[in-house]
Amino acid sequence: MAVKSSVLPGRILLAFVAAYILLPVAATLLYSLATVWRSEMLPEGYTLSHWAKSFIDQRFVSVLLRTLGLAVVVSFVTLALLLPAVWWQRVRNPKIGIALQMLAAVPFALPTLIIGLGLLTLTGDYLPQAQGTVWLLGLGHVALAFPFAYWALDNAMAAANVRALSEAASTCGASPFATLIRVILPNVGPGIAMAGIMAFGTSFNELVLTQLLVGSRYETVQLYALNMLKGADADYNLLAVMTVINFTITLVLSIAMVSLNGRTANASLPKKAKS
Amino acid sequence: MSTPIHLGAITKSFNGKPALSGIDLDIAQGEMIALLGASGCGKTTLLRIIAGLEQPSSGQIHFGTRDVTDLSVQARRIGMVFQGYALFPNMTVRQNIGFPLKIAGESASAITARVNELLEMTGLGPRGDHHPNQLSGGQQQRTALARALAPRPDVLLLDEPLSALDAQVRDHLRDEIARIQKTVGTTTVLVTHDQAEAMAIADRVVIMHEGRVEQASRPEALYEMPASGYTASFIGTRNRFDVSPQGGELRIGGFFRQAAANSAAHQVWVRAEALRIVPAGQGLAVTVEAKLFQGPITRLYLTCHADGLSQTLKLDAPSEGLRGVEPGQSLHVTFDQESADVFAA
Repeated sequence: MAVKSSVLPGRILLAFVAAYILLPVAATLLYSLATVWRSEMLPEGYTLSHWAKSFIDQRFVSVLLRTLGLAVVVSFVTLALLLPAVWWQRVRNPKIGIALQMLAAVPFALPTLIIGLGLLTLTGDYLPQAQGTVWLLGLGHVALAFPFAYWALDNAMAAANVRALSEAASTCGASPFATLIRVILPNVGPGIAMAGIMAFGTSFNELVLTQLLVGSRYETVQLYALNMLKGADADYNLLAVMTVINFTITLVLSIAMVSLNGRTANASLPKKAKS
Repeated sequence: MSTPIHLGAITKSFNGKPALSGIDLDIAQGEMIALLGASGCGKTTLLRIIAGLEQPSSGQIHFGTRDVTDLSVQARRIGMVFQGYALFPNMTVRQNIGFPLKIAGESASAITARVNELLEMTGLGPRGDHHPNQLSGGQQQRTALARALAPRPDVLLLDEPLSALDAQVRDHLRDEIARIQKTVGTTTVLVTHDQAEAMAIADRVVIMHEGRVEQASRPEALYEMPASGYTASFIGTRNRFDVSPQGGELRIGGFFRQAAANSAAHQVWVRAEALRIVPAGQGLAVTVEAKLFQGPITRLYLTCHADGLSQTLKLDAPSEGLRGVEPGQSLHVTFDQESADVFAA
């Protein structure tokens, strides 16, 4: 009984927090399925027509695919840049960790707006042809995703003790490449996936940099939502569909991260204790 | 194929701070030596230099006639057991042991045969398909040893392989390592800070101090005849008397007299088991401060405030002979002149 009474307040609190977070999402989902919803507590009727309409709307589908494509590319570029750098930092040269940590602090120390203006000024002076391109936007997203991916990778490599594993592999005769492929990557797999998800999520949900660097030339999900809200002929049901898709993707990514985080933590713990 | 090792004038500095100063050491084919010393003495650095995981600032390393100084780790043909084992978590015991053979491009049947042989040798047979996180510390240690031995290395390097284990498992595996090393006959370098471990299994013990070799001798010789005050302080349990010469002689109580090497203060080291209780009126007057029962041996902590001395002494004796002795009791102790090791300061 004592246990139940101590658990109860926590559960009530959890229910309140869940309701606070989920009610707006549930309302948005309902709105995307509503025929008409004006003054009543619940919609007057339900339909899938907004969803069907969304997926035959060329602009809607393009925006979704474009945003997903950009997020995937940003994830791969971020991982390709960071994986060797973090491994090198952990195994060969811990001193570069200071530089990497300082770089990781930049997106937090500077507002995104300032980073965007900095990129515009820099490219304006030295690479004007890059301005307004998706490549510059991708580069900006990689910079914004850098800290999240770096910490995920660095933590995974620290937990796996990659330096000891690399040294052990080298005493077994393995080349650095064989070590990376056969020993390091399989042992930091969840960390790599988490870093990729972080980069994907950062790019998928980014608005300020996108608006500043490419504007409507490369409309993403966030920009689409903003443009629709600003427009006089906004289709709010369609917007609700996009919001639900956005939320679902973010939710799936979050669940994947929590799951991967648990696997990383469990991998370093002994399953059995025997002598 | 086992090989002798020659280390010639090895030095190593980290950021200008010397870690090793002119290490010269020859290790015979099939010999097991233990690098023994306190933390920071350079023993692990020396092991890593032999492995190729660190480059010496100067000096040469030869495995037999091969100069391996500039060879990569991969090209040195070594096997190494790390302090934390560094087993690959994504592989089973079998895969861990077979990893160096797979890297060397051996056939699947040769790998299976060698892995089975090593599983049997290390008693890991039933655990072959387990992952490292399903093994106890002792089993992980044996897996690491089997992996190191799998490619039949020229040299086996053991970096404090037992330090993470509890006492009972440590004693058992210490004997296992000695047995397996003798079976395979690989030249072996063991790093340890545990003198009992070093004395028990090494053919020769190398005492290291501040980046130098203080003494390299067989365990018995090291124990009986320490070459310096540092070795005397490190090996066994000894009492140190700081004695200033009087009339060219060193004197302790009425029982120890020896000619001084010079006029400076000398260190006289006496093993705890060399002290013995004598009737009142002889030797040094002491008071029992504490009594520590250790099974067959009991240790007495004694305070001595006589004959110009003011210090704590340790006396080890068979427990049976010390049954009547209790803390607070006054005793007299002495030692034989020939049991003392004397070093000029």
